[in-house]
Amino acid sequence: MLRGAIALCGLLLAFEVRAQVSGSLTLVSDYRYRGVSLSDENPAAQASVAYDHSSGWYAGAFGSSVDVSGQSRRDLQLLSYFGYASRAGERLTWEAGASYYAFTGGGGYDYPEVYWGLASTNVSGRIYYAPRYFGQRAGVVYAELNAERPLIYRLHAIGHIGILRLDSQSASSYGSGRYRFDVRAGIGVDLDQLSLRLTWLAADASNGAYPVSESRNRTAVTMSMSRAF
Amino acid sequence: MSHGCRAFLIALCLGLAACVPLDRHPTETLAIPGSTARQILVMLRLPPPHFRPDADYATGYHLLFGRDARRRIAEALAEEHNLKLIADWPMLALGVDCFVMEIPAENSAAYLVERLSQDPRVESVQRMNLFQVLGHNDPLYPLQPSAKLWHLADLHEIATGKDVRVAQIDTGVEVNHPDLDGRVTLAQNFVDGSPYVAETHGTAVAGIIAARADDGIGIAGVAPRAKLMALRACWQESDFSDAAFCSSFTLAKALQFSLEHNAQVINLSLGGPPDRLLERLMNVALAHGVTIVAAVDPQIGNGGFPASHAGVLAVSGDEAREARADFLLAPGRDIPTTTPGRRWSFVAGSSFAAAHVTGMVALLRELTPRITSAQIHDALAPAATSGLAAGRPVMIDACAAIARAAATCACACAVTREAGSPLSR
Repeated sequence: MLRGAIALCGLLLAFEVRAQVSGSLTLVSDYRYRGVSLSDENPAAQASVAYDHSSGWYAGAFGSSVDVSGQSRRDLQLLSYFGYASRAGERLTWEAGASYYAFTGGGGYDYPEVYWGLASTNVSGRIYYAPRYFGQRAGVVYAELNAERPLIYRLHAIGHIGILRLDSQSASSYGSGRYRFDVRAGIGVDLDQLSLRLTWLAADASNGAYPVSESRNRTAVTMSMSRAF
Repeated sequence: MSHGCRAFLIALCLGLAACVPLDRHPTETLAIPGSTARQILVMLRLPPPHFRPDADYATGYHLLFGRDARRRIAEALAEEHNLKLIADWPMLALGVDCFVMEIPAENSAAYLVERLSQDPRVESVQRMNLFQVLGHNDPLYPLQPSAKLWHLADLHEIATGKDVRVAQIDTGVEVNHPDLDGRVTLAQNFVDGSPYVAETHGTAVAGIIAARADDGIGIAGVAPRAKLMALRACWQESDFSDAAFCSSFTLAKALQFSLEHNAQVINLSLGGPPDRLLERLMNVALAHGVTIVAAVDPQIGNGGFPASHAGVLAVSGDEAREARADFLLAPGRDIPTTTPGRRWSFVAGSSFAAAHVTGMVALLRELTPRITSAQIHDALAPAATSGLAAGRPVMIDACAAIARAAATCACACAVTREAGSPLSR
């Protein structure tokens, strides 16, 4: 997989005049993925690179330190994705894509996911489907709605609501409900190249489909600092 | 963690760090009319918003991400063509990032525009144009409150423009002027190199549109309860001259801002040469139901740009009796209005006629929120629409316009009320 990722990066980074290559480095106080801490409520370091072609095709890779086992073991989450986005009017765009989540440490959490979404300048919605969510025999659909609204100066407000739906067989095997909500609200400030965020988030039910401890907090306040380039 | 994964992470970090530019061009002032002649606007594509895991639950159109990628392309273009990168601004409404570049003395703007237009990295390119505000102070005209022509007090019985969002793209407004206190909901500067300051033209236009009514001082704006966004995209030449200039870039930034903040009416009391970037932004605004009001340049037969742009309400001052029939005619002389330094003065010019119409549009939109720009034009100038006054515009009849557009009894009802009041008997 590593060879494949490096080959993909090499291909994407090959000089193409109509493409844009960008990236970011991020430090986050707690890496919350869909409301669940994948860093055992500890800080995480993240890096990403993204490629956008003028035709609408895009691809990218994302890496984050994680601690899924909860045993203070530093592992990595590596995410690669590609998709196609196109304008469907002056303010609306649609996209479709696929991603692959891989984890080091041999926990068997790797899984693919496909998604489809609509976005405007300040609002976006996506629906995702993963047939083997976190490597388990659980078909999961996740839908999210995200909003961002400029406030004064460089401040902006951020909002997110997501709902995860487990198939009935998985829900009964986990002893959890079929639906799980998560919400997030916060503020961000964009400096020249730095983005700072302070967010509050909450999830309404057990971690169910996630391979993390049930004892973790369902609400959290997180801070992040990203440098884009 | 395996050695392979460590190597991947380190390689990724090093690779990304290597992309960070070490030296960056500072944003420089462009608030000098002469400098715009040596500048061009280069538009690079903004990728459509899409999934990015690093956007951290944002909408996907987070501007910070990808901005440096476009800057690097702009820097490469600048180096290849011996240009100097001056500034940039994302125009989300058009899906482009707009870069201002200064051309070398040995090249012509036309030559570079032609060359860059053939570059696949470039979405579009154009010259930087210069615009001027269209008004002047004239203390020789006798006092003639223009509000009386439109029976403003009667109109305000039924509409004050309450909560209608008006974007005034102009010079700076004195937001704490006593007659404007609380009327300006947002003041934003788009002129690089100079701070937001109170200037004559912008303050005068703001007063006509939205000065406080019934406050015992000064004047009453046509739409005294509208929400005014005072967007400074033009700069006054000096403290001793009311002449003011704007550029394609500053105006485009203000138009983009107006769209982002859901302006319902945009006032453009200015004129200049046709400009492709501004045309595109205005087309987006018009397509979203925004009413654009522009002042007619009396020196140009078709009214000049942006008044001549299709769908824009072109407004001429009432002294221009030879104006085209499709122009709207509004009070344009002897107009008392607010000026910087907590003062009031008299102004004249099509800029201020346009400000009157902008106020009227706010009244109409309060009464009929879904009214279109074409319906507003028909309500304000029925004679021109029906051809009854071919070749000659007629002064707007504000009371009749309200009655037509909102099917509401306006001034006639006020007369009836007065006749029925004890004092009139």
